[in-house]
Amino acid sequence: MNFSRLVSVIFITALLASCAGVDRTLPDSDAVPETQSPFLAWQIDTAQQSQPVKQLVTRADEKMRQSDLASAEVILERALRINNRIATVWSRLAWLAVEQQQYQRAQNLIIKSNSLNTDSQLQLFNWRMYRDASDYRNDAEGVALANRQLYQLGDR
Amino acid sequence: MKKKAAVKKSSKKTGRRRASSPAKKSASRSATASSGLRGLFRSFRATRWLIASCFVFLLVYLAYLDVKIVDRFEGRIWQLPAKVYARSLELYEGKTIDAQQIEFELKLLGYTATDSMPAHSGQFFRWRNHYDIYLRAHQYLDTAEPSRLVRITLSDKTVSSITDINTGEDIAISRFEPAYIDGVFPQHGEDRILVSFDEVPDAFIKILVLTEDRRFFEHIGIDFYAIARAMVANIKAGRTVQGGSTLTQQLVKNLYLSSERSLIRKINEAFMSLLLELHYDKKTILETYLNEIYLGQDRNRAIHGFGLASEFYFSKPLARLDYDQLALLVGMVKGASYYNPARHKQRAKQRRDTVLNSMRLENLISDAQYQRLIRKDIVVTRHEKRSKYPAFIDLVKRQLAASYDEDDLSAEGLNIYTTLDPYVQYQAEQAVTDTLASYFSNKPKLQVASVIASHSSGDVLAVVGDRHPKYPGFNRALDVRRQIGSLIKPVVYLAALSDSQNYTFATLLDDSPISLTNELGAVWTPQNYDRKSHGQVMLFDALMKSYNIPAVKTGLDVGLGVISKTWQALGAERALRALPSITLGAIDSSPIEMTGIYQTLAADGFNSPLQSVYAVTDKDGKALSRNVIDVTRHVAAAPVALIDYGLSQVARQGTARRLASELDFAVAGKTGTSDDLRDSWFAGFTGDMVSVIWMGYDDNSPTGLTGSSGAMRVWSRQFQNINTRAYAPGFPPDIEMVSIDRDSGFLGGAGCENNVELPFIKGSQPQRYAACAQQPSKGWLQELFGD
Repeated sequence: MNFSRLVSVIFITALLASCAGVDRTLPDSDAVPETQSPFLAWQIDTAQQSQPVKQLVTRADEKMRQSDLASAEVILERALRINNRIATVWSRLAWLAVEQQQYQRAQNLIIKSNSLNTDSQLQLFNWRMYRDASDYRNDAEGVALANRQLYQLGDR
Repeated sequence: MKKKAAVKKSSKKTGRRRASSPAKKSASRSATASSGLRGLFRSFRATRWLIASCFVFLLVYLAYLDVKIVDRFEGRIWQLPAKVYARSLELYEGKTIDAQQIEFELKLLGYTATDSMPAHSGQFFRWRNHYDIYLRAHQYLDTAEPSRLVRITLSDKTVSSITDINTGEDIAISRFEPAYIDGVFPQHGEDRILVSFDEVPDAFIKILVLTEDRRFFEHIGIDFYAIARAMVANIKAGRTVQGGSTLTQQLVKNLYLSSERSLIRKINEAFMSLLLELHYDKKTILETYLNEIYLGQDRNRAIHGFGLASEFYFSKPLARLDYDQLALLVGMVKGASYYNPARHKQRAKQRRDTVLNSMRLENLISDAQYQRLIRKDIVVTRHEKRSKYPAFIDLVKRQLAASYDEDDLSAEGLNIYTTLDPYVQYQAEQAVTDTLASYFSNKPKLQVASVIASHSSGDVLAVVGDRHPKYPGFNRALDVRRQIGSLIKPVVYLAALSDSQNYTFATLLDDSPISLTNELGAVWTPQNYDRKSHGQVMLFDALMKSYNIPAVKTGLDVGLGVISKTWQALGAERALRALPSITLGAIDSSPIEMTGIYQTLAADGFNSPLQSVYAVTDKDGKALSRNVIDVTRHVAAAPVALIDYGLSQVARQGTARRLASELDFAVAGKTGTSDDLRDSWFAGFTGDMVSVIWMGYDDNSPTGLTGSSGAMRVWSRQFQNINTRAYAPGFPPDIEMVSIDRDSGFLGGAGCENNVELPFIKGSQPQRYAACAQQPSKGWLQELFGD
């Protein structure tokens, strides 16, 4: 490296370091709003859903509000057999699994949901659910994984 | 006994006196008279005792019969076989389906075509690309689907709209009732669909009573008038031409007694009929009769009751039968086999017309109706002589055996909702029979097995276990275990690509000969199929061209234990033995197991257990169990995405490239051939289905077929006609496409003639450019910081 290149590198590094202070501020926990209701987290991809899937999901949501979990699950699986790439449908199934105390299954369904999803709000909701499911089944590794993921998503 | 001896002794003494003393004759006579009276009295007492004893015995016997009658009537009268159903066909806007499949499904469900708008449920009318279908009401698990008239419009093999014809409203999603596909019968094989008295048409009751037992609603279980009438008729004819049995007696005979012709049986029948009438009202007795009566045979299952007979012979419920059909069913009571309409059409017609004539004489129908009805032909539904889907049903029974006793399945009237897709099954069977006939007619013993499943849910859609798909013998789809050959290579390379520090698609593998010596000193020298060495080849090319030597070397480098772990992570039950030959598929596996493994690959690394049963309900429709969709990630998404891409290229330019010209949509798959061409395999997937085909001989002799020239032909043929989605690689965010120079395995560029675009896990792609590549000019930052 010749002298002029060395000077340039030092100059640019110093410049970047002086600007970096602005961006290095950690986002506080309010930066991403806490999900009040799972239905808020599940709103994200309704635009991608076809009419039949939308109708089924709406019907499943009604059943969930009525606490008819078994029926909701049947309807959601019907939706998945039409289109299996909708992250919120997998997330709903995971939520139902938690409610039915099927924690390991819930963890699996969350991983599936997240594999199809890049929305931070749904990711946050899913990882919180994952942490709860792991906690319920005394899966310390699962809790740690969820916490790491949540930290990366700014949920501290 | 002592008393009798005393009497005899006394009489002997008297006799001696009579002989010795005539003077005492009178006294003796008087004594004799007295003794006779006493005897008579004693005899009367004995008779009374006898009568009393008989009466007590009769009472006890009647009580026994009574308990027998009530016990069966109050308890479970019949064993009800489980009914097995196919999946329910979902129809919605955007669904891929063609006219051929719609008509197949309608025919399977017994819908009849009409010339105009359907008037009743179970009918359809096709005009141009529209289907007006009067859907039947049905209950599917916990959802009640109403009967409604819908218009389904198809456009380019897709449902473009569904409309409720009566309301004009668009329907987002609708479904057909699931087709009945089989039953799980008890040993005696009785089957029935229970009907309640109230759902049976009045006309039918009238025809039945008119024909079988005119005074049913008046008599007490036995009709003395009918017996006398039958006796007279039989004496006149000199043979049995008429019976005097009431419906109650017939029911008693069928439920409790044998068909033996004896006086004792007749007496029992009479007593029990009286008792039955004493306990139960006419409605209950008749309802039981309607469900009990034997009305024919279908393979090992006996058709009992008018509910099932109506569906069996006419594919319609009893309430929807016309008079001629009702008359035929009633006529068959006299002799279900003798008047079987499928086998003895003429006899059945004569019997039907006799019943119709009785109806006319009793003014149940007019003369004009009678004339119209007797002109109608006997038309009944045709039935397969064997189980329609023996290999699939075998899988269902095995999967249910874990949760249900055999008795529950054959006696409790369970409803088993399976994942079978009848149209996919039909196409799988056609593919087997057509391919064997077209290409392998010179190999009459060549066997085939096939499994098709949905890779997102694990639902098994079709199973074929024999070259004759209806043959119920050895189920090769589940039970054949053969060497899988190159079907293992995606597993070997998946294990390698999971270590992205050391392996990528661009990694050059050494294809020079190799010899391995085991502990016993035996030497193993694997060779490529073309018996040539290809020098240094990229991993991607080694997979596409299915080279053997690079697979062995990679497997050994990665570690046989790692290969085994990957194999199990993909869904295999058993671990692999740590032998180098496993890297070339010296592993015994079955088509169903290989389907599970390729399902995980097709579903982005998520394993879903293959399941053939969706749900089980009790006879009232209450859910007993349901198999939920389950997914487990055992393999990281990125390396699976790489392998899937590789398999899609195998089907475009590799050993399975013929598929690209035979199918008009993209697929992914891998050929497999075992040593000496003994087994021919193909495993692959579309956008929504995964399927594995095996071909070979039962005695394991060489077939002369590779995976491509054998099993792949069946695979290709079946997907030419199944409505499925194209395979489209879906890369996770950490995958990127990079241009590579095929000869060197380095980054390609404009100057290289042999570039190929390959996916890499970000950061794992080669950092160097090939010598032929014209490197892009460096930007000022790159100039500044260097490479």
